[in-house]
Amino acid sequence: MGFLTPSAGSVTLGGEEIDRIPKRQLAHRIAYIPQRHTPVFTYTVREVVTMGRASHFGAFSSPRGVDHAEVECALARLGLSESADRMFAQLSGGQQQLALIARAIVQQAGLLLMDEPTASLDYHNAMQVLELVGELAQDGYGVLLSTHSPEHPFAYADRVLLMKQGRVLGFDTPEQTLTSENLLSAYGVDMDIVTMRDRHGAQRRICLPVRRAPAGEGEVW
Amino acid sequence: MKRGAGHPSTGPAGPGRRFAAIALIGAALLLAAVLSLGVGYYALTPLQVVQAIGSRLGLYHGEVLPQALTVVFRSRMPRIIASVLIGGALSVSGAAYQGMFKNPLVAPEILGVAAGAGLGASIAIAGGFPYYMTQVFAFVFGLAVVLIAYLISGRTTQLPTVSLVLAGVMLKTLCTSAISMIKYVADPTDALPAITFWLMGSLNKVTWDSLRFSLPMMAAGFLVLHLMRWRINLLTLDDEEAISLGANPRRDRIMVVVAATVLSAAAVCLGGIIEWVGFMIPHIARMLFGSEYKYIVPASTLLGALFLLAADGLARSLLVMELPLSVLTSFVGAPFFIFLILRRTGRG
Amino acid sequence: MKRSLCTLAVLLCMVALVLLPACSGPAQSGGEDGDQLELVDMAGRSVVLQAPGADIKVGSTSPVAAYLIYTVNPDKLLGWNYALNDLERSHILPAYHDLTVYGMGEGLNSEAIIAAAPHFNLYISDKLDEAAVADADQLQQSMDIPVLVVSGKLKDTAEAYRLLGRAMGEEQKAEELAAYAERILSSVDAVDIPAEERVRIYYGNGPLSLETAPQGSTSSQVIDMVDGDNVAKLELGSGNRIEISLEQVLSWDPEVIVVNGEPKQGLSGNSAAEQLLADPGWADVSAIQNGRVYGSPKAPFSWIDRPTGPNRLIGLVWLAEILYPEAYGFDLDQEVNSFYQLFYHETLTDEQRNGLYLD
Repeated sequence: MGFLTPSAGSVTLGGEEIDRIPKRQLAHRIAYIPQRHTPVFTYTVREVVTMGRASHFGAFSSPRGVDHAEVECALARLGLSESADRMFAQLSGGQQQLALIARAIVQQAGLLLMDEPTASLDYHNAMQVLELVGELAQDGYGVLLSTHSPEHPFAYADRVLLMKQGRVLGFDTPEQTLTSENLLSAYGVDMDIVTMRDRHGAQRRICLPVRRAPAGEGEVW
Repeated sequence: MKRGAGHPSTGPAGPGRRFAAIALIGAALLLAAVLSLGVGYYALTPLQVVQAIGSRLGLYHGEVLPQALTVVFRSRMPRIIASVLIGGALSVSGAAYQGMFKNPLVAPEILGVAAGAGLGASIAIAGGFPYYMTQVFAFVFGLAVVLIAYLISGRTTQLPTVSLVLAGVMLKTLCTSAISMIKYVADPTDALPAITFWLMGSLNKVTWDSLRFSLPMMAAGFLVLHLMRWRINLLTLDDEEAISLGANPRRDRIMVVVAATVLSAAAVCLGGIIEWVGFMIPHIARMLFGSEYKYIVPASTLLGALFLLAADGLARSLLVMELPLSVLTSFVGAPFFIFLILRRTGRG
Repeated sequence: MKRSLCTLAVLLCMVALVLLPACSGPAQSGGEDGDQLELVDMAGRSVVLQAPGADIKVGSTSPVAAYLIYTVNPDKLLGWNYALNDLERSHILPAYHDLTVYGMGEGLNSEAIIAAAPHFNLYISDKLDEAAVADADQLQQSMDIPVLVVSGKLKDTAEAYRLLGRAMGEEQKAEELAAYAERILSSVDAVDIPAEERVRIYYGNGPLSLETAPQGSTSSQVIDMVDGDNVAKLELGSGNRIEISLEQVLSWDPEVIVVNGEPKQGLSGNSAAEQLLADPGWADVSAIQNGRVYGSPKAPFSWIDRPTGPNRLIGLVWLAEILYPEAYGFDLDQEVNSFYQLFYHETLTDEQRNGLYLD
């Protein structure tokens, strides 16, 4: 994002160094979706999403027809059209995330940066958001998403960067990176990676934390 | 305007209705301004006002008392225009400051513009300069104080908004002490009452010339804030978030500060220190239109103009002697502030 | 967009309104017909008035201006600038007690004056500089009534009266007042007391008489003119009321003390003098020990201090008699009678005259 200066090495986007790209242009290429959005003033959902168009016109202009059209489009796509006039703060956590994603979409950037988008969401909303992320990836968006859950990458990711305390433990496909050993180093939890088929026949991988056998008991199963 | 079906979680009405509401306020302002020309010690009916204006434009050829013409054009019209401009200027710069400092409890006086202008005016009045110098001094000192506050804040490591406010408060205190000292040694027959009256806000001394001095700067300030009205929304976000959306908050903030400060300085140097308007009106605008600055900017301007127009009308007709404006605005503003605080805590 | 158009429209309206009256103002200062009087006032401004008739009214932009007009011809006074207090009423003719009050300074009610349509407005100021000219011009502009500026300095009294007399159509009366002023002023001027013989005098104000007007200030003018040596010589010179401490007075040790009392608290000069004579803290001051403490008479207006008008002429006589009776040789009682007759239109009985010193 250009906020922190690398202490070593460099960050490039499409071959260009991030620091060299003017911020407004950067916004056309990377969109950032924060974990939470708590502004001082209360805006409606539509108004929040419209702010995503900021990089498309100058400081002395206001949103024009094309901007409003984009906003409506994004709202519709994320199923927020009916809630568009409600106050952002009134929405549920999941819907707020969706609104923020809509804001990122109207920014028309190719790469979406998401900071733990499911962290404060309940299960249903978390799944909803992840589904959406998957769709966006399908539509050609690049998505860089941070998460604490070891399972999410299996479902949706092409590549995984596994880190612990600043050290890189692995950077490859989920199958390669998320092995029992790596996960043990990362989480300090013993896990089995189990491959199975869901009811539709698709192959899925899940992480199964291993329970320590209770002392004095043999195999229960 | 009306909230959708009275539901607390529904936002304000759609854009069409909001623009209509703003246009309505504008129309009310115009009407009030014309009616205001009839208000004052020398009473004139609205008909007489219209006749006077008509006669001046060469459209009406009936009998018009010369005194009526004098009162309308020499005495009242400059005041009414001044009250409209000042009310609008203070309100919109208050709205801009509130957005910029991400704090709804902020007023344009916070950076020390008013205190600096007061100091300039006190020096000019106590020094026995001609009255137009008072305006010039007030303007220059007002801007100088904000500039100093900005330079000081640039050297600190805290958040720019916090350090700016702190520097502003410090300079405000300094200016106020200096003003007290000047008042102490000023001639109690003429300088002291003049200074005191100026510090409380009065449109008594507004002339066409003083309007001409302030108008260009106000026009510039209004223009910039009007053009940037949507951008101010982005300033209410965290800097990082704003940058990620492609905005340049630092540069935008500077432009807004400059525009809002020039507006407030030009307003204060015209009519003295008039309190509470810049704080209160943006809140009312927000209650009617939500937080979207695209509406808040024009709404604050018009509502503020209307408010001060009414206040000045009262100031010159309530009693035989002229009431200072701050007295009237404080009577409305202070209880409003309390009401706001209670409302917020009630909600929270 | 609609919004921009609207705002632009509003801005244009404002600009138009501002430029509108720049074209021309309703032109009138004198009348359309009748004689016109062209004067140059004491600030160098050229003022055109209509020839004054018998029933004209003259407005005042400040209290002292009102007094001036009252002394020339009270019938031509438009009104006062503040409501008269009891002390003033005791020597202002009853017929004029309740004239309309038009306010003063920032609170001057322009519209009321416009409504009353006086012949012209009198503006009086000690300093006839650019600021005064600008101020007078602004008042003239905003009310569209001519403003005549005269000097408030005591030594300019004669000239001020003569000018005012012409403007008001009261040349004869004004000449009498001017002649009186000239006589008093030249008598005072003629006597010059050498520095070593000057009497050291302290002039006290306020409830405790611990506010003073330093030498050279407006309020000290009368003292300075009769060659009194004002003991208060302070750095911050423009103020008329400086707070000092009793210690200061003791160190100065004046020979004569004149006190004003505090009119706002109903403390007369005389009472203030008695207060000091009885106060043990002041007992060591020479003036107290010699009993030379005098309360300044104040009815209807102070004899030696504000208002800064011709009311102070009699104060010159009074103070001269206190400080240097031999040098000046005025007949105080005679002068007081003449003064009150001429200026305040009152014939004083002996009792009334003596009562003045007790107020």
